Parts: sequence; C-alpha cells; structure tokens
Amino acid sequence: MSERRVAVLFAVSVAVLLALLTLQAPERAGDMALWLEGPVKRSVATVGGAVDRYRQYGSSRAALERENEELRNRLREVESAFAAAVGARLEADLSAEPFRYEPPPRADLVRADIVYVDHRSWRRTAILHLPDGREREDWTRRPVTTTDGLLGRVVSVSGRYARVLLLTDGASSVGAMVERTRRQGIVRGTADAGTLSLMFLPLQVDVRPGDRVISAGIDGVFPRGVPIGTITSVESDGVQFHDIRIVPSADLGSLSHAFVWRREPLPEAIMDGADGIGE
Amino acid sequence: MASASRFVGVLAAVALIEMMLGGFLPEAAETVDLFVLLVVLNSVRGDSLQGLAGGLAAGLAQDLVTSSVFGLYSVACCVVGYGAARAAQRILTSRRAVTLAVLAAGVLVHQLIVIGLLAILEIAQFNPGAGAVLLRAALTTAAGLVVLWVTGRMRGWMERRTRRRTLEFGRGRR
Repeated sequence: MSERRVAVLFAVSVAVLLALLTLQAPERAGDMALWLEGPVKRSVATVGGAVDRYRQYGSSRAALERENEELRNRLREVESAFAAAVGARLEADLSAEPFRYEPPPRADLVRADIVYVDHRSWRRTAILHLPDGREREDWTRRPVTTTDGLLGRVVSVSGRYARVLLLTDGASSVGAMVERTRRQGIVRGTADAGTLSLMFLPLQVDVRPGDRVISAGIDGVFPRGVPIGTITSVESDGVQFHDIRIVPSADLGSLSHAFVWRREPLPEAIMDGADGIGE
Repeated sequence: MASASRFVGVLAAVALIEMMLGGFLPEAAETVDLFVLLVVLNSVRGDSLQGLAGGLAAGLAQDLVTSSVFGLYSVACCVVGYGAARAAQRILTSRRAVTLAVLAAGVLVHQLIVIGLLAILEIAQFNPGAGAVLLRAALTTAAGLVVLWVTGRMRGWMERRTRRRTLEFGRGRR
C-alpha cells in the first residue's frame, strides 16, 4: 500500500476515533466543533473587519472633516456670544453701581456620592456620602441637584451621611415657575413616583405641555433657575387652578452622584414671620 | 503474517501484564506504559501501515484494559504508531539510542494527546503534572532499553544455536 493511502487511512482512523470520543461527551460536541471551526471563522471575520474598517475610514473621513468644520463655526458663534454676554454683564454691573446693587453671592457645589436610594419605605429619600472634612458644616436644608436638574434638599445629617428628601416625595415642595411665562407656583410630589405636580396656577394662565419648569428661588431654600422638569399634561382642576403634571429633569432611576449647594438658606425665623412683626 | 501473529501474541501478553499490574501494583502500571513501548518497537521498522495497524490494535487493547473512555488510547496509540513509523523512515533506527529517543518522544506524545483530549472533551479530570509525565517517559524508555537488550541477547543466542545445529548436522552428514 502506498504511503499516501496509509496517510489517508490514518486520517480516517483518527477522525472516526475522535467522533467516537465526542459521542461519549455529547455536551462537548458543539464545543469541539467550535474549537475546530472557531479559528477559521475568526480569521475570516478579522479579514472582513479590516476591509470594512478601511472602507469606512475612507467614507467617514470626509464626514469627520465636515463635522469638524461645523463645530469650528459653532465654536466661533459661541465664543462671540460669550464675549457679548461678558460685555452685557459688565454693562449691567456699571449700571447697577449707582444703586449699590449687590448680586447674590455665588454658591459653590460639593460633589457627593449617592449611596442609597430608598425604594422600600413610603418616604422617597436618598442618602449621600459627603466628602471628607465636611462633617462640621451644617448641611441641613441645603439644595441638592444632579447634572440634569433639581433632586431635593438635605433633611438630616449623621456623620458623613446626609439624607435627601427627593422632589417626588409627597412632603416635598419647591417654589417653581414656568420658564416661558415666568408664572410661579408650587411643585410637589405625587402618589406616582415618576411625576410631580405643579400647583396653584390659575386657569387663565397660559401653560402648555412641553413647557419647562424651573425653580423660582422664592422658597428660601432652592436657588432660582434650576431645572425641575417638563410639563407633560395640563388639565383643569375644578374652577380655580390647572392640574399640571411634570416629569422630573433628574433621572431618579440612574442616580450615582449629586451636588450639594453650599448656600446658606434663609433663617427659619424670618420665613416663619417670627422676627418681630406684630410685636 | 508471522510478524502479525507474533505482534498479537505479544500484545495479549502485554495486556495480561497490564491487567495484573493494575490489580496488584497500580503505581507500576501508571509509571510504565508497556503498550506504547510495544507500539514504538513495532513501528521503528519503518512500515507505516504496520505502525498504524499496531498502534490501533494496541490502543484498542489499552482502552479495554484500562476501562477508560473508549477510543481515547486508540487515538493516542494510533498517532504514536504512525508517527514513529514515519519517523523511522527518515532517521536511522538501527541504533539503539535512536530507538530509545523515539520511544521517549512517543510516550510524551501519547501522554500529551491523552491529557489534551480529556481536557478538551471534559470527560474526566486527569492532570498528572509534568514531573509524572517525564517520569513515565523515562521509566518506559528504561523498560525499552531492557527489552531491547533482552531481545538482542535472545536473538544472538538463537543465532548461535542455529549455527551450532547446522554444524552438527553437517558433521552427521559426513
């Protein structure tokens, strides 16, 4: 018998024996086939991927250059708008000088990790882990925001942990206004965890779904102009006020960190009217 | 035909020895691979078909004797038998040292195939370690040396006996 025939016989024998072995481990038969065909498929995929990438590189380069040019133009526009805003600010400062008007001090933000969100109890709260070295500060009643919008306010502190009452809690209330019309009302939590309610907006007020609601800065706690949410529905609630539903700007389903405003709230004595009026 | 029947006879003897070793001295059965020894010594004559057939037969016998996964040792012995025969076609295997080197390589290849197949198929856990594999190769090679020495002595003794009888027959005729 020639060597070639013996070689074929050898290959057939080994293949039959391997098949026999594989039959004794049927759960591995698929893996065995994959093990054999995997490298081939990977090679084909690698070559295909390289060709694809080369083709995409050619077509995407022109698109990237176009996009880059657009972004440069946009940057120039933003830079000129910023320069105009700075100029306007300087002019406003100069105009205000004769009246001795002092703008409110800017608050700085402290980043804190959200370590717990209470989904179990009837209160809707979250717990923040405050940065090191801040234990001595009084954090209560300070506003808390995310990068998307208002989250709530600090209600209690223990060590480096602070409990935040979320906007969606029924006990929470924020002075708010419709950004388009500057009309003010109160935003409160509802029974539905995902929505807020804007209250005390009379029926004659123009308000529409899609209007943005921001904080009004009239409650002594929250600063003005922080996004609260977007109006989703407007219905008439009897004879006096609209029944307005808002979806919060801050995504309460993906909380990871928040910013606490280092801003002194108004003294409660002044807010309660117990500072000498009527005495 | 005579060599095939002789191979079958030796294979039966090896299987019997392995069975007895497995029963009384399981450690010895694990450290010396008589089947591979037989396969390699059968293959080093350089006939690839004989190597393949001998490897297959010895592998099947080893599968039966060791009551392992059927076909596992057959694959290993088949590869070793055919590989040793092909190697013998290219190198000079009449020297004893070369035969022993082929034998040591055969034991290593046999062990690697068995371990690799068991690992890929996940049929059983078998990982003797590099030390045990090398020890097995060394002891099997040593056994091969003994077998080669004994067969060489036997062949010499038989040749002398044949020569002596021939001479006695010649004297008787005169």
